[in-house]
Amino acid sequence: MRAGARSDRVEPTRGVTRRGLIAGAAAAGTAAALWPARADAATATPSSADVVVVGAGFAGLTAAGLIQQAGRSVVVLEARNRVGGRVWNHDLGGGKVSERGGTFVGPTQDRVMALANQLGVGTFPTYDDGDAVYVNGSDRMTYSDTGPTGSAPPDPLILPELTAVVAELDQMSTSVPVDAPWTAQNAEEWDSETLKSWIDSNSVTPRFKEVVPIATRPIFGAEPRELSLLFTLFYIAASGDENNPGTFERNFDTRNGAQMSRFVGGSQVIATKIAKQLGSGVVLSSPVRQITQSSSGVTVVSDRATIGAKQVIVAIPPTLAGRIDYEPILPFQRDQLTQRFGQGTMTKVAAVYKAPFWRDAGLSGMAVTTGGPVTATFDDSPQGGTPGVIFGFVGGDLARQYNAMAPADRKSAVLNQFVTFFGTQASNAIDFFETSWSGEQWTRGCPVGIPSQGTLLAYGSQIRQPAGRVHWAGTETSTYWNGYMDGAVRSGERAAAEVLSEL
Amino acid sequence: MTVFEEDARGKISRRRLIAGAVAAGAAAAVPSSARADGAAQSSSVDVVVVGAGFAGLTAARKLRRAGHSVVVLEARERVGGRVWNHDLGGGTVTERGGTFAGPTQNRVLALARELRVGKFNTYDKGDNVYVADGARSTYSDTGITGTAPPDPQILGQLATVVAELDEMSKTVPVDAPWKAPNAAKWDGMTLESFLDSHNPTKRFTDLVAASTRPIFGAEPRELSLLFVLFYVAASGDEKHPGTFERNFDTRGGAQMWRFVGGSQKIALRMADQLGPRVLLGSPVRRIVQSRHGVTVHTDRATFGGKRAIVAVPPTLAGRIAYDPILPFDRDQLTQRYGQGTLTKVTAVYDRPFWRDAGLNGSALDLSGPVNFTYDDSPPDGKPGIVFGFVGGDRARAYNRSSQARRRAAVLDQFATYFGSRARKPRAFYETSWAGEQWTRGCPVGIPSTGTLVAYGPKLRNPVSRIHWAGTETSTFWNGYMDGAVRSGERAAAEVIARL
Repeated sequence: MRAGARSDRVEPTRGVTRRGLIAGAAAAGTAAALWPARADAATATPSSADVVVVGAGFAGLTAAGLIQQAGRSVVVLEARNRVGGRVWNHDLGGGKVSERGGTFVGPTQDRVMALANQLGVGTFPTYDDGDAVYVNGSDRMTYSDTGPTGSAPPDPLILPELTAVVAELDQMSTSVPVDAPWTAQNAEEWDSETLKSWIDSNSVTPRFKEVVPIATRPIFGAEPRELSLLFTLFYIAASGDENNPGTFERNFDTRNGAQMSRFVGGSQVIATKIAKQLGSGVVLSSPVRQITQSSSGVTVVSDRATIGAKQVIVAIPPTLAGRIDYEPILPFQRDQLTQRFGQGTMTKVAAVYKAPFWRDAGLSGMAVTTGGPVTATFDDSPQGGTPGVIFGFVGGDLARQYNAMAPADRKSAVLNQFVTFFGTQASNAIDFFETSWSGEQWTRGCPVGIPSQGTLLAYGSQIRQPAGRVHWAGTETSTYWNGYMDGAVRSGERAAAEVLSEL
Repeated sequence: MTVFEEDARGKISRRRLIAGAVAAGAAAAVPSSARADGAAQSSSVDVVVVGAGFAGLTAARKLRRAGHSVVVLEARERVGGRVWNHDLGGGTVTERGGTFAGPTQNRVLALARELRVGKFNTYDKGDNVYVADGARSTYSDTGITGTAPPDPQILGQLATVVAELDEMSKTVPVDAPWKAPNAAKWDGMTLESFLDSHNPTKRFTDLVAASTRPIFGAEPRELSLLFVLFYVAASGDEKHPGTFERNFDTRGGAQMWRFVGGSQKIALRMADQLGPRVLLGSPVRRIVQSRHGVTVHTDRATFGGKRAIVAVPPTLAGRIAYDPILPFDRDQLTQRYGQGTLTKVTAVYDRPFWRDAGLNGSALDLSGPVNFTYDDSPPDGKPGIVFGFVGGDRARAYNRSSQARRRAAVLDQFATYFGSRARKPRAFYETSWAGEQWTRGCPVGIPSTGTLVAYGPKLRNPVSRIHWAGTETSTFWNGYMDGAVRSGERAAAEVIARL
């Protein structure tokens, strides 16, 4: 112990020694000692490949598929015992499924649509006949989403303000470049205030302030106080594609918006189909612990395999990417980015019924409320409508409160809401299940990572910038449909192109 | 202790040698443990402490005194964490990290006394230098604004805003800022939004940023107003409510004293007392909890304990793999708690020549890269040392420029403050704390807006057998050495009550 005695820093020399030790011993010794033994270690997994992909979500699988198609070898290391990441089918029995995570797809989500098309996965319209329900306090009203506010409730008390604020946000977002929001003319001002501060200084009706979280809880899994205005504007700008500037409406709406369609067989089927094509190139239950770079390549240490490669794509949420041990360490800017990019707080709850009874009453299954725990619901029944499934988003503060409740209380609170929305039959659920995404070890929060105040400005450019041979993918790195399945696919395509140009 | 080192294929690293020596030394102190799988050394203690900074060492020492066995696992090859002496040769040192102590920092002062580490006054005779919009002036910190500059252009605004922040901070309970009556409102806005509502002049906003960069390593836009108010409230003790002035001032404030032999000496003395129970070069990767205890895994060794104290910054605590995983709210806390961005730059001169000119070595500069300097010379003034804080956006810009340009930019500033002799230091060095693998940013972890309200209680709530320490968990002097010591004492008491 000779702390403090060194007058200069000898990190590089020591780093080499340590690296040598790890390189020599990691696969056989250290990793085996440190992490639980896996008796079923993947004997078919090669010890080297052109590219290693970390994470078998939509981003990682898309990248791996493209790399394989380009004739390069690739291994995907996945921590879970399944593929899909934030996209996860729930088996309802009888060949029917519902979705625990990412569900919908809509116009301008071109890349995930093209991918589904290519894999032979069809789409069908989200059930959207009849009216939506809006509950504010003791007020309940129904409305058609064919009106001027779309999926947003045309609450007469706030209608002018709602229209004006949405128009203003849309307008502001047109000045935010999706590939570099930190270069927007007002980037500094907008990254210095929260969405809440902006609403407070632009809102005249207290009731309107109550309605704003109806949007932020499902969209971000966050309260307006947790969101940088700049990030919010970027998210709106990203709700489009190269030819169609993003709008809040396209993000929030079902009709002609991001909730317009669903995938036949459940959204996860896209992931399982790509994984099938990759075969033994996908290693499950193998969390990546360490990535070592040298001038000649990378070594990726996971619980079940240590693989040498030329390049690596890390396709997991920023906060999880930051937990991998990199040797040498990443530039501080990249590390500080991942320190300031927490995942949203979202629980998805679902009730299953023999039939979608609300449809008979002229309701679409969509409901929004200023109450809770559920903020918004959708009809998530399989194509054909049997069984009937309603899912609800519990996000932000409401998700935090919800998780502190006893399971029985949670269920009854949700079903009570569903009764208010859809009638007494809603209490007769034949099944009820919930998915707390913040409690998922290998996601840590949904739907998306959220940069804190000032982070886009300070470190935004690090989100995609490769660190040597380490490339970054995942929906948080996407310029369009950031936070969506489409963004994940886009990021995988971009990262694959990056890597292929360097092989 | 039975030690089974894996065969490293003939490669002997310095770390192995240290580990070997430590293991041999520990043999007498720790009862023998069962063979592991032959791949790692393994031992068992009452409490495993993660991190040998001020918090971890304080906790370990207190546990030992209560008769419990401990091991302290430290990732670095040194102890002290964010406190790190820099050897100038000839027995003199200066500080790369935490440096000062001041009134109401009772716990670190008591610890230093106990360890016979003396303190001396930060050099504070003569005037401070103030540079705004290219104009240099001097002022005495004995005036009403203390260390803050009595700039007539901003005096009114400064007095108003500081008084308002102090007043607001009184409603923020240091042990639960999320319970302040206005917590949700204040945690929903940034310090910058708060300032904007006062229609500040540009010079005033520049001054505020010049203050938040050294204090937090952050811009006003990165700071939740609630967190800032908590930080002000925490700049005191049980008997003296915190104030901005006590935080910011040298005279009567947090920069009043320094430790003889450098602040790290406190950590070194604690580590000496703990002897072979402190293991260096041992980053903790994984903590497994069961009904009976914890198992803490480093790269090559495993330690069993009844309880663990994790005494590292929240963002690094979040990178350890916990089995079972921690409750989601603790994890989301650490996802939203980035370390500040601070580089400390230091110039060493033969003597503290600024003193001859009636200057105390403190300068506040609204430009950059340096916003604030202090005289960091040893007690006898040989050699003369000035260090500067480069924080927030300035630190990010600074790190982008070349080493030669960085040095020239800093020395240009020093020459403006202290005269042209400042251009010719005999040594110049810098410490980029954001680039330190086992700290990742200084001086402190900063919760994002909404985080204290959403997850604040998780900072200290133990997760079964895992307890949390580190200056970020302290109710007083959060972000300071004193806060680290307090947190170590609190965590040790928590554990002792349950052993």
